[in-house]
Amino acid sequence: MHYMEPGEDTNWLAQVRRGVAEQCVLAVLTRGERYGFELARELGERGQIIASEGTLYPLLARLRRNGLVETSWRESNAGPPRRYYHLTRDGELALASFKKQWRVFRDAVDEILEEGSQQ
Amino acid sequence: MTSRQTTGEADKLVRRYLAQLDAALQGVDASRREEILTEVHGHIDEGRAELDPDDATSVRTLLDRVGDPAAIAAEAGAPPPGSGRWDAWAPWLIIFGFIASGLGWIAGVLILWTSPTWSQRDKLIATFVPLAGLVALFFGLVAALRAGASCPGPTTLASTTCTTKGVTLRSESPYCWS
Repeated sequence: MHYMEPGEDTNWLAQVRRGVAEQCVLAVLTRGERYGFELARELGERGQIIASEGTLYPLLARLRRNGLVETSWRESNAGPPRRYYHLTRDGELALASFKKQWRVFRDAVDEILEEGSQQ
Repeated sequence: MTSRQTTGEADKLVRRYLAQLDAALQGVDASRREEILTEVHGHIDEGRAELDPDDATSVRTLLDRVGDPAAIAAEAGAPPPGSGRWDAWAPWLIIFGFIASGLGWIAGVLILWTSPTWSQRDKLIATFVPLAGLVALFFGLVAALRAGASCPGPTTLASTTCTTKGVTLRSESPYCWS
């Protein structure tokens, strides 16, 4: 059995991540607005959600362009101002529909894998 | 931008990294490219503020976590480096290049193999399938001409039957003119 090392990448994972990482960002933002560095650390520390911290930023740019997040600049007490990301109404709706579909999808995959391992 | 007045190894690493990212983002539209660069730059500054900002080793670790500029560019939808301008020509040259004295085909194959746009498998298929077709066509023609040459005796336009390698060609064809 070959185990995934953190940071090791496979084609299927890159493809799944492409769709799912965006939703994870939206989910983190339901708990309150974040600036990029915070988000990157939060997602990066869990492993697997983003390929590397830097890949978060094109993803955020895409979410912003699609109107799922908005940003505002805020002063910080250390260093230059920070760009904070927060969820829009569209972002909330997108996340809600993702959650529903994800559960069905995940269960279906689990079921198939289980059946496979019982034989 | 930062109040720190530091030069040296750590700064050089960051500057080099950002230059690599900027280059990798070629092909992404300007405003998005600017946004990503600014954000990654900000990220690196935040990260450095947490560590000893001038320690080259920890800056290196930080940049490792930020990741390969190519991966960030790929996420931003940048075309892979080196692909581009000539790619659209390759399929046409490979298909029709034979007609243009073969040179067109050679150009097509060169573009094909030097571009990262296609996978190894695609490249092999695109190179050898048309080539195999051409070779088959060539041998087909040779066989047909041989068949013509083996027609018995002086022939007229009236129908003749030639037999080559068990294939019987009832022929009113021009092969058997002589």
